[in-house]
Amino acid sequence: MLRFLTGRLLRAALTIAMVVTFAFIVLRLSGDPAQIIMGADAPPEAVEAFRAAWGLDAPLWQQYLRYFGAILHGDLGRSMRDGRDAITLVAERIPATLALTIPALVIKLSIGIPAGILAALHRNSLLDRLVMALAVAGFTVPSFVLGLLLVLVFAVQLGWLPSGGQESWRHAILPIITMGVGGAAVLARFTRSAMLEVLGQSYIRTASAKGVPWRDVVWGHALPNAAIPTVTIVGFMVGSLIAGAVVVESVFSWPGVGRLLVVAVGNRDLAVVQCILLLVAGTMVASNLVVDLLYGVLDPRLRAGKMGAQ
Amino acid sequence: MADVSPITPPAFTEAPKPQRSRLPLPIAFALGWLGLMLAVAVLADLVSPYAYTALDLRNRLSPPIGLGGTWLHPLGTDELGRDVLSRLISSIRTSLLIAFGATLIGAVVGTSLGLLAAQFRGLVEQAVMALVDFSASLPFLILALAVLAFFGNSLVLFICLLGLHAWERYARIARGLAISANAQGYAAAVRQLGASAWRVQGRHVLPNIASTLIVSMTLAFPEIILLESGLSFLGLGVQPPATSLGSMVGYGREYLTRAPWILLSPAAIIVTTTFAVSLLGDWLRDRLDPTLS
Amino acid sequence: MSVLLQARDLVRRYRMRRGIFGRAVELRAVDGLSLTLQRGRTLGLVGESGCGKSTTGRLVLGLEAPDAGQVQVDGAPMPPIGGRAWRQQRARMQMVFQDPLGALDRRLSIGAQVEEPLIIHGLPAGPARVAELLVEAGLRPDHAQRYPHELSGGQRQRAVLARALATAPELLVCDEPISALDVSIQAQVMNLLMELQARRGMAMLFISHDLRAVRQVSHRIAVMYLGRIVEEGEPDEVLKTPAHPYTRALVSAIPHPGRRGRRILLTGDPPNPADRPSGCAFHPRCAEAVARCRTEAPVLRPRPDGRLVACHLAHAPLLSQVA
Repeated sequence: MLRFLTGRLLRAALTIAMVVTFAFIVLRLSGDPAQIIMGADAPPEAVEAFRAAWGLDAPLWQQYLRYFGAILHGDLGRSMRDGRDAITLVAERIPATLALTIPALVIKLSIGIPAGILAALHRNSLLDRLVMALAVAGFTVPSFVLGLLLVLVFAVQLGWLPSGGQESWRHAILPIITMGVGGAAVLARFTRSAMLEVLGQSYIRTASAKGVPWRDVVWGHALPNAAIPTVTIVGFMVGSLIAGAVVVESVFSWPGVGRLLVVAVGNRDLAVVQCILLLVAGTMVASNLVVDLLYGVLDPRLRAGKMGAQ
Repeated sequence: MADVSPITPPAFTEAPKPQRSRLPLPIAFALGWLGLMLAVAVLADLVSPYAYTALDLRNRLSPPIGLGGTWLHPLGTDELGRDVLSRLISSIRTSLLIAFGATLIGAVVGTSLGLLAAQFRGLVEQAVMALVDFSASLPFLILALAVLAFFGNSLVLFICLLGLHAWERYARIARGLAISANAQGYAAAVRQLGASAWRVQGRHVLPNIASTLIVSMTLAFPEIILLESGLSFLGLGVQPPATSLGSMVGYGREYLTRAPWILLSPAAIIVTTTFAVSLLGDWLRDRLDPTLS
Repeated sequence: MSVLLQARDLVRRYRMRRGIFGRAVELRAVDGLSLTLQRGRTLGLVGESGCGKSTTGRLVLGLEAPDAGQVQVDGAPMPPIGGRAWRQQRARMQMVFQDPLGALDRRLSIGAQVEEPLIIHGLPAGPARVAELLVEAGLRPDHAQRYPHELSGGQRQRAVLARALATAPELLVCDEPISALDVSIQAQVMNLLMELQARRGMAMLFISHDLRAVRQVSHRIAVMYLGRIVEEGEPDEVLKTPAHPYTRALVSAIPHPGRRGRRILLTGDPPNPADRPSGCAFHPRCAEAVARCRTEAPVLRPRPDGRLVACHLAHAPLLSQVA
């Protein structure tokens, strides 16, 4: 178990290190940072002084080490727009993003998983077809189209809800629905297919053939086994909460991390972009780690394997 | 590392029983729609009633037919009096070009790296798999945004960038299939005939795994259309004066209340096209490759 | 008669993991095996599944590198796997597989696949040459246009054989070439192999678990048990008077309408290469094992009559007569 854990942790650390390296390489490839930060019309002496002050005249590998060290100390640079610490800037926006993504995640799970299970259990029924049709629609309608359609209907035509901003809880309804529906569709489709796969296994047929009530077959055998692949995609959804918020926050002018990213990319505010990049990678890696650990709980084969190794 | 790629939703497991002569109706529709889109993209200059940048200042924000518009501008005009139909045709061309280009790049890059990993194993394989892990650890949209922030934007860069979407999927598939082919069976047999690695991979392994890779391409294609339109919608993809389906929606958004038709027609095209390609991909997967999860 | 290939003290280990987190177990598939292949002669290698026969075949062909020991062709060591010299050498030694359908590329016609070694090695190719090879392997020239799935099992094996013969190899390794075929086809393919060998004069290593098949095609047979050769000699001699207890058990298991001898049933666990017994690997299943067998591994050495046997008892004539 310990070996398993350290292996996973090492892997997570390696991934983060690769993201940092990626940011460093891309940053250096994109041009002279001194010139970018000082502006194109800065006098050459000033640029030179800046370079010396920030160690940009050192060999590349030294710069890389220093860069790595700074990030380890939590120093992610300052925003070029207002000179504040990038990390504070990003941290301020996190609550707003969570206010949308967490309810959306609840919607995804509470609609997507039951819908997928029901569809699989009543395969080829009207319900199944309906769920699958909605699931395909949910996948093929991009979130910005869905969001704008919701605005068109509920804000413009009916006037029930506001179309954007963050003044009250009513402002959050449309963005949460927009985010939740697409994810629920993907999850429903995935759960259904995982469930169907499990239901087709011989142990399920054996269990029902030897007279185990169907209810118990489903609860005792099918669901726990179908949970394993489903956990993976839920983990992925948790990990990509921020990424999912990028488009929706922009549609609804919601001042979260996603919108900050879009604005920062537009302004080429590199420190902020890099900070969000690390935040996203960190969330992703952490949720992958949790998924891996959950596997151990859900899959007795892995558990037994671990016992054997001790 | 998640072995399942969560971006691709699993297909319908029950395929309509393949019939010998007739295509299922949805597939016929999907093929017809994609044929129409391709024709529009190829013949854009011929079928477009106006240049997509041409202004008609006397007919600004004119509604489409059915909402009081005239045949002069069948799908209406935008805030500068540009013909929505002409812009739509140009957008279809741009979006399809990007999606085709990016899908091909992704497939070529991913497959090559996967085959390389399978051929040389050892360090090369470790490096490729580390890159695969890295790719899988970042949502692609974020990666794309970061690159766009650092490098700015141009059409070629944009296509290459989107080409990196899903490369790791091809790499994983190609590596897995090639390793199993190399381990036993025909590839091992050809190898012991004295064939070079190029010959084994190019003449035997690649043609044998092509159907799986083609299915993956049809599954990645709609995702790329959605990514392209998403980024263009955010104003970070295709830059004016060029126009794509996503950027049309993005700019049309400001006229949502007064002229919703500006964004509704490109939105409808995006949805229908991704829907058609998804249908086709699922169908192909069931027909060609039941083993692909 | 001259020596074509000599293998000395070959060892091949695999590391096998039990489960995802299990400890790696070392598995000795081949454990100190030596053999000699003469030009124009067939050596039959027989043993039950898992005894390392196939691994031996692959080591001899140079498809895998041994962990210890050496394979020499014409006195020269095997070149590094995958290199240019190795690839060129492939023209001299070829293989026939157990599963002909798996060994053929199902997307290419038979003709294209038979022609492939000719193209690889820069030999004269073309439809006429392909037709000639097909006919030699007992197929019709028009089979060249067919695809693997359009042929029967026996025809596929003939196609594999035609491909293997294309470069006129000096050595042919046949790994269970008939076990995937119908019984009625098996005899045909074996006759074809013998006929081809007589005509072309190549050396053959015929690997099978079927003692009768091995006896029919071989000039000499070697019996393998858990990665080692336990007995080697002339086929008729070995079958008539098997010297090793394991060979005796194998021989007695051959159904024989005329003879009504008693059948030796092996007891104990089937051999597991990951858990090799001490001393003689066969002792847990051997009815005649004595204390020495448990501690000391017997070496393969000649008896006065020239038979090679690895058994303490076989070299002590008084005791072996009792059995």
